[in-house]
Order: sequence, then C-alpha cells, then structure tokens
Amino acid sequence: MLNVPEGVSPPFRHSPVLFRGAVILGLAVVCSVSLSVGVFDLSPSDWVDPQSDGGRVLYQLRLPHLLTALLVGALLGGTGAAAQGLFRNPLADPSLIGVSAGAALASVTLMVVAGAVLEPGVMKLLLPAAAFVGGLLVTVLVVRLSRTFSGISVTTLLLTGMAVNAIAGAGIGALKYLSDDVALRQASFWLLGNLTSQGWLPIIVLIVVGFPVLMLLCREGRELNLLLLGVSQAQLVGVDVQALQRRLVLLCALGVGCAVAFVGLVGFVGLIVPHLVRLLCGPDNRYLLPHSIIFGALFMALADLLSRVLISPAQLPVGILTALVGGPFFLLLLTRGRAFGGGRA
Amino acid sequence: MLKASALEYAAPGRQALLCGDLELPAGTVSVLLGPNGAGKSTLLSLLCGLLTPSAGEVALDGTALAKLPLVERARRLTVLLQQQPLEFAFSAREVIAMGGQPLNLSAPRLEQRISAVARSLDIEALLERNYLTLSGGEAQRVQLGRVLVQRGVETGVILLDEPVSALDLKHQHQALSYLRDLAKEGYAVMAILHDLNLAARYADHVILMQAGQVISSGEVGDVMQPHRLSRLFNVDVQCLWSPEGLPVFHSLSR
Repeated sequence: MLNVPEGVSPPFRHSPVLFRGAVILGLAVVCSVSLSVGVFDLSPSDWVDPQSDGGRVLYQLRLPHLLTALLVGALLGGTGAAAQGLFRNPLADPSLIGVSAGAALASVTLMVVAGAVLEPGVMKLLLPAAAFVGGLLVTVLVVRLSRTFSGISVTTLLLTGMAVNAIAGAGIGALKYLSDDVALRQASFWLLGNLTSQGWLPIIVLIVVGFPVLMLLCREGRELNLLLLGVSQAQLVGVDVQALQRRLVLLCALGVGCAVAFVGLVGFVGLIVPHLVRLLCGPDNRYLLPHSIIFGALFMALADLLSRVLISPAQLPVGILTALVGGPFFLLLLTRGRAFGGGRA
Repeated sequence: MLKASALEYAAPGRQALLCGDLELPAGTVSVLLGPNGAGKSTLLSLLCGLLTPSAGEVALDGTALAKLPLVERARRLTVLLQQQPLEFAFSAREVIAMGGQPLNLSAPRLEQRISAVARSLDIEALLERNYLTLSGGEAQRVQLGRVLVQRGVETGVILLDEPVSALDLKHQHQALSYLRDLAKEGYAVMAILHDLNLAARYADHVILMQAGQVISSGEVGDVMQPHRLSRLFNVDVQCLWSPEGLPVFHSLSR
C-alpha cells in the first residue's frame, strides 16, 4: 500500500502502560461527571444513604446505568477486536455474522407476540433471555453452515451472516407491521439501542457472562497475531486454526449476544473502538484486545453521557448517538487515519 | 530429515500428484524445478502437512507428520508459502518475531536470532518499518526472515516456495548463500526456484517435476542436463561454461 506514509508510528505503540493510564484517567473523569450530571442534584451524603431521594437516584438509576454502559462498551470493544482478527480484516464487526440480528429478531418476536399478555416485570426478565438465546442460535446456525471440510470458511461465514441479517431484518419488519401501537413503539425503541436503567439484574448477568468472555478473549492475542499471517501460514507456525476460530466465534457470540440483550442494537462501537486503538497503539493483538476492552468502556460511557446531556431532561437512545457520531468519525479515520500508519483500512 | 514414501495426492479439480519416494536429507539444499502447474507447490503442501496425502506418508525424523502435534511440527519444520496475506500494519521486526513463537526462546536468544537472520538477509534497515509500506522484494525478505527465525533450534527442515522470486540479483545470492550456510549447519533445505542458474549454483540435489510427477531427482550434474531441461520447459536450453568453470544455462524459445 503505497499511500501509507513512512516514519509515522502509532503514538502509543511502545508505551502501552501510558495508554492504559490515559484511558483509566479518562474513565475516572467520565464516570464522575456521568454520576453527578442529571436533573436531580446529588449531595455527597447520598452516597452513604441509599434510602434518601438522592441515594435512590444514585443506586437505582445512575450507577446501574453507568455500569451497564461500561460493561456493554467493554464487551462490544473486545469482541469487535477479536472479530477483526478472526476475519483478518480491520473492517469486520461481530454484527456481520448475524448475532445482533438474531438477538433483535428474538426480542422483537417476544415483544409483539407476548407483549400484551405478559406483566412488564416478567417481560423485563424474558427480553434479555430471548435476545441472548436468539443471538446464540443464529451463531450456532451460522457456524454450522459455514463449516467446511477444512475448517470454518471466513468467506462463507460472512456471506451466511449477511443472509441471516437480511432474513432477520425481514422478520423484524413483518413483526412491526403486524404489531399494535404499544408493541411497535417498544420494539422500535429497543432496536435503536438504549441504556435506560433496568436495575441491577443486567449488571449481574453482564458481569457473570461478560467477565469470563473478556478474560478468555485476552488470552487469544498471541494466536490471533499469528492468524493474521494467513490460515495456512498460522497452522505452520503451530496454531490449531480450526480450534481457535471455533473459540473466537463462540466467545464473540456470547459477548455480543449478552450486550445486545440488555441494550438493543448499538452500532459502530465494535467497529470503531478497535480501529481507534489500532491507530493509537498498533495492531499487536496482545495489547489490542485488552486496550479495546477498556477503551470500549470509555467510549460507551462517554456516548452515554452525551446522550443524556444533549437533549436534557430527555434522553437520546445511545445507539443513535454512536451511529451518528461514529459513522462520520469513522469516515474521517478512513481518509486521515493512514497518517498514523495504523492499518490498511 | 524429511522423507516421503509412495506419496500420492488426488482431489477433485486439482492436478493429481504421484511423487513416489522422496528424501530431504539433513545438510543438503534440494531445489525443486518444473514448469507452472507441475505440482511443485502441491508437493510442498503435502510435505509440510497442509494437505493430507491420499496414499503414502511423510515422516519427519522417522515420525509420521500426521502424528506430530502442530506446535512440535512447527518447531522442527518451517515453511514459506507463496501467498502472504498480511493486512495489518505490523513493523517488519514484529512480523519476523512471529516466527519465534513456537520455539519458546528466551527474549535475548530470540533477539539474537532475529539479528543474525536480519544481518544475513540484509533487512536490518527495514526492521522498524511498517510492513505494509515495504516493496514486494523487501516484504519477501522479511517473510523469509520470519520463516528462518522459526527454524529448529539445533536442526530441522526448511521448505521454501519461491523464496527469491521478487528479489534483486544481490539479494537472491545473499539469501541462497545463507540457505547454503544453514544446510552446512545441518538443516535440510528445499526451495522451489525458477532460475536454472541459481539452482545449479546453490543446490546439492535437484528434483524435476512435470504434470504432477517427479520425473528425475539426484545430483545437480546428473539431473540438470540440457536435453532434459529442454523437454521439461519446452524451450531450447543450452549449457555454457563460465571462465570459473560454473555451468551457465541459456534458453531460447522454440
């Protein structure tokens, strides 16, 4: 690629600790602002008195809301980085293999079919479960269809993902067409992607499922680097490519399914976060994976903060914001980012 | 030492391969010659275990290749393929260091190995460059460097598919001389080449392939006969002699 300038290296390439420090500092600032900004003014005493009005706002709304944003951002960032390595393509995204679409179809089906008969509380519990199961079913289906005699074919995987996305899109369209006004509004809102607090249950699930997923992903950095050399060449360097592909697909499905289940469709995070990290720190997956996780958390917390203050007291669905800001920003990166020598994008 | 016995390969849509017995002894450089589509790369894929033979087997130091775990195989057998689809902006040093992964060398030993290989292939000045900005020949030298860093710690087998196809004259000689030196240290080297003069100059053994079959193999002087090469490549090949007494092959289209 001749138009990648020489001599300009990603600024944090040789100082991962500095990058981590900067992100953690950013997280501290964004989290503090996020917790203190809102219609209700909090006082320091609210931290120790959960029963006060301020305490309830803090412990039942803002804190779970922020934690959801952080965990979902970490999951989308980490799985995005892993998917880009798995597909050996810097522009890949977990939603390409149909996980998000499968999760969305299952959730919308539940809203439209059972929305009128189920109690709102029960619905709140069932919705993430449905999204999770839908995402996982699609992943298993996609992986089965794309398995060839020589392992998972990435081309077939992507094409199958595209077909699944189209089918799920048609299914969602049909369900919206058939639904009543209440279900339609609920489904549309969910599809936009939002972090409206659903209490502590999502956080517990996100921690129980998400943490092991992220820990396991971080262990794959070394082999992911070798996979970038090409499937055959990776095998010749000692990587069991089929097993690695299987592990990565399952971990991505689990991570993305889990995130989508609780916040709906939040686009661009899985794509833009690893790309930004690569521009700042270089392509080494041993650093890219953990850095994308913490940077994803920061990115999502920031997006959430903006979605809350931009049209305060109302709140913009965060999915709209990530797509609206992420899309143009990503286009800018595509044209200007080469200056960092960060990737063939 | 790598040994193939009664090796055959057949797959739908691919050239069937009948290679018979083949031996790559330690301490020698073997060169595989043949026209395009003769099955040279398929043979190399069979020898390194990327393809499974339909009959016969490949053994590495007496153990069937299929029975060796991938990492163990990678520690003793290193391979350069023609296709290098790397799409990410690693530095040349990072790419070369990937070759050290299966070996579990200590950091200083790996660094020592990288420096030695980089010096021998003249890529020291490229080490900190973005791999995606390298020219075709520079990238080929870096990939060759990666594969040679991966070579077995004491001894091992090195298989190379057209390792010098994009290199200039100086670097062709430099790379092949280095491979000769490695053979002297005890490595078994096999390279697919297209240049008859380089083959004659650097090979101990030459293997000729045509239409999926090994048609001749043996010492350079016995195998590289002008009439045989003329038939193989379908051109008129003549052998002249340089003042230093080296064979110089000269070809004319028919």
